[in-house]
Amino acid sequence: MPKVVLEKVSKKFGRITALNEINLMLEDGEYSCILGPTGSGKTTLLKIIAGLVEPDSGDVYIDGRRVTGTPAETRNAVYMHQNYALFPHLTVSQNIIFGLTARGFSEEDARRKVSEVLEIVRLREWADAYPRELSGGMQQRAALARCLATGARLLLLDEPLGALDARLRLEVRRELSRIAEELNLTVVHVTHDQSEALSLADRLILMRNGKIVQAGPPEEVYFKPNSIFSAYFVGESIFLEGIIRSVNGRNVTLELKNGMAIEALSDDSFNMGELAVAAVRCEDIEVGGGPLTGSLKEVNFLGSFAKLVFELPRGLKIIVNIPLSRFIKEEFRIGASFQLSIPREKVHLFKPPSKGLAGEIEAV
Amino acid sequence: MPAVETRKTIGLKKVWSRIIARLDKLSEKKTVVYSLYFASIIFFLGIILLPSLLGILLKLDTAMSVLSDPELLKRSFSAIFSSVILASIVSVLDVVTGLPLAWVIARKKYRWLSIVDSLVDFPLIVPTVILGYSTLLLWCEETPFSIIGFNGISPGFITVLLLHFAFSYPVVVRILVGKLLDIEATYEVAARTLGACSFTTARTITIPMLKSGIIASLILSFARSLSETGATIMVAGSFENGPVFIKKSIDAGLVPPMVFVSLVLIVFSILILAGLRLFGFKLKIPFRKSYRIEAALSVERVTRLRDASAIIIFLFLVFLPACFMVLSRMHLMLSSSLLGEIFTLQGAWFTYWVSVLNSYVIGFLTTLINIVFTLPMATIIVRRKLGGLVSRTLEALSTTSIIMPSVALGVSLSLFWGTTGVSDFILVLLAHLCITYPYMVSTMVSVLEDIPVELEEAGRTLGGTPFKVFRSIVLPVAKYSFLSGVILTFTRSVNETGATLAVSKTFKTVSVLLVEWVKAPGMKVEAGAGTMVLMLLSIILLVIFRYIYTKGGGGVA
Repeated sequence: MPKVVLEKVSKKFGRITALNEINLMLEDGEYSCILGPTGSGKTTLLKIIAGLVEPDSGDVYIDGRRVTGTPAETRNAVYMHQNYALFPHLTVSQNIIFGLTARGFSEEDARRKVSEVLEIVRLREWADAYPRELSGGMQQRAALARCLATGARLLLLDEPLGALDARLRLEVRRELSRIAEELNLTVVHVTHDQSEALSLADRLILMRNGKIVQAGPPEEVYFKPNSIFSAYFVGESIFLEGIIRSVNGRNVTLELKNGMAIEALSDDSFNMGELAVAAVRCEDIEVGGGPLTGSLKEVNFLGSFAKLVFELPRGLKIIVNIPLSRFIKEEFRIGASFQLSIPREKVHLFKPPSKGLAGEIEAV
Repeated sequence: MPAVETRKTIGLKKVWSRIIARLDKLSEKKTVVYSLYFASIIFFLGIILLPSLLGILLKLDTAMSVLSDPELLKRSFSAIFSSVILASIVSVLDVVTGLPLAWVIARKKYRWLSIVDSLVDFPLIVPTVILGYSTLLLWCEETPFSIIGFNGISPGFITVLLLHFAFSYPVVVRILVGKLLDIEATYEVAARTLGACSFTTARTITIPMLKSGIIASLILSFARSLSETGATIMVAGSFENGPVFIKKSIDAGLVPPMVFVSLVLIVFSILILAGLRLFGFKLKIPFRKSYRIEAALSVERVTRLRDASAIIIFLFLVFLPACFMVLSRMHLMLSSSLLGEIFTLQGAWFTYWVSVLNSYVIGFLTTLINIVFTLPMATIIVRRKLGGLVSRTLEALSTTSIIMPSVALGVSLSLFWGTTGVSDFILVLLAHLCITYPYMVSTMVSVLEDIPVELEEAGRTLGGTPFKVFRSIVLPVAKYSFLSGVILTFTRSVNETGATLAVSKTFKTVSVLLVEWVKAPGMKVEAGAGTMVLMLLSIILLVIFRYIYTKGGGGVA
């Protein structure tokens, strides 16, 4: 039962803090995706679980056993590198056998296991090929087979789909999720691609600057972002700054910089006259019948949906994603004036960040 | 009988695999790994660095007496100055003439190039002293160029220059070919399609990318020229550089001038090498402008001329001196009954074969011990196991002995170990360890640097212990550079004379014996035959070694 627990794990590289007191618990059989921008500490976290990097402080537990300081090869956790790290001088099956003999399999058992995992990743005909003879997607599957063969139930994947083209990425994504489920693996998957994280994860862990910003089921992170950063990094949102003008129970009114106002729901944490930032998903904004008026500046057709950019007085920009069905029904003429509305339950209110809104988002 | 044999081999295999398993298990323990690191540092300090320096440093007080003798002081400084000037000229010449040949080998696709490619290594297997003697014959005493009116020059600065050029050139070409092959041709193609002619492309794209290789070549040839003793003396005539001066003062029984010159040379070269490392990398080659002459230099007729002259320079100034002694004695050897005597193991030839055995035993032990101790050292340096500062310091220190004149190194070692009463065999072994250590460390460092760290990481998380990862991943992936390091160390040990002579008067390696033969009257034919046999042996050994090595790799061991 590979259950992974991290307790107050910190790691510095020189003056750079890669991880800052991380606490994390991953359940057995759970598929977790660690999502975050470059330099947020994702890979370091993964390597610390694998035992390739030792934390400066804090502890790592796998299966309830404290593994801090133990060598990587004893942890029964396989780490798959972004560029697969297939051994170039060995064939696919020799690559797989490496991990098996390392774990003391007999030659016969090892052979059986090789054909078994090659079957799973559908690479049977390529057993005797060298890594350089394989395409990117096949290399990825070979590396995965090599991990699976060891029998390790904890799989640590560092950007496993990063080197694949968009179409292949979708295909392998499905494959990964099927294999993880079939073999009941505990998987930690690092990525900076939000759609990958959203579609694969049982639990999504959002990281920034060496800290976990938000962790939970992907739907929760998506629908209930707990910070401006969450709203910014997962999904597509616009941010509106303003002042709270009225508070009526949970209903508050936010006056925007250009004088227009929107309604929102809030917990008790906001008072009259306070500054706030509203985050709204681009697909939650409705075109027509609202308190905001703007003129259409840009139309981008993106296949299954269309992106409309409206300009409001005082340079305020609002981006709206509308479904294709609506886009082909109506006429969206550039320069025309439109009414925009935002349902109050779709507005997420946050305290203004200390660095300013631009600082908070652009620092990513 | 075969049944017994198979049983025996099976038994051996079992023992072997048990040893391997045991080592695998051991390498898992941190204490074991760290004691290995610790041992390698102790070995380096206690066997390599301190004895090489301490022997000299202990006599430091006597060196001061040189300062009070103006005549001696003047001679010392003139020798030091000559050494530095000579080494500078040699290293620059090496790179300037070596680069075109390296370029031809790495980039052109003529079929006959593979021959040139293997000929480049050939001078490496000729003992340096023999190369010196051969140089002397070729350019001074028995020059074959008399048929075109060249009657030879007298030994002096020019002959020393020719000699140093000949023995450092192959190494420089090897380094540059390796680096050139690492630079993908795509950059050059990109530059050419952007409109740059081939000369401009080389100057602005390839050579800047080659900088580390060029600096390494400069350092190595500079250091080799500064430290070579045995062959230099042979061709020096009245010319006197540092090592020649040191050798002369040792022969005269004078320790103070030797200590003085060695120290100044060491300090000088450390400064120069550090400067080259620090500023060499900062040096920028101008790349904004393209000069009109470059287009003219890129015309095919000109490039052909350049390629041809590179090959001619190599053939006449490097290859011919390397084999001239054997060539010039070939007719004598063939006409006498000598060839039959060689294998009779009688008289002089008995001594010869004993010395060959001595050389190979010393060479083998030197290589083996160096591998064992330089590997953990290289790991510390490359993977920064003990922190960046320790790594950098060790890296700088580990190459120090490369610049010590080999005679001075030998004398220092015998001063250091002499009082302990160790046998001559051990003394020679210690000397060879000191001399080859820097080559081995730098090879191992480059081996480890070339291995992507993710391959090791993958091996570890798949369950491989450090030792297993090393022997079935690191070693096979890096086998060619590893092999060249082993060959370099082994041949360097077999060809060494200066330090060997300094530490022992009785223990004779084959190179030392050949020097004696060359100097002895009436042994000239034997010296030629002995050299030829040694060269043939080296070639056979290299071929066998290469075969075992390529056969051994590949599978999961």
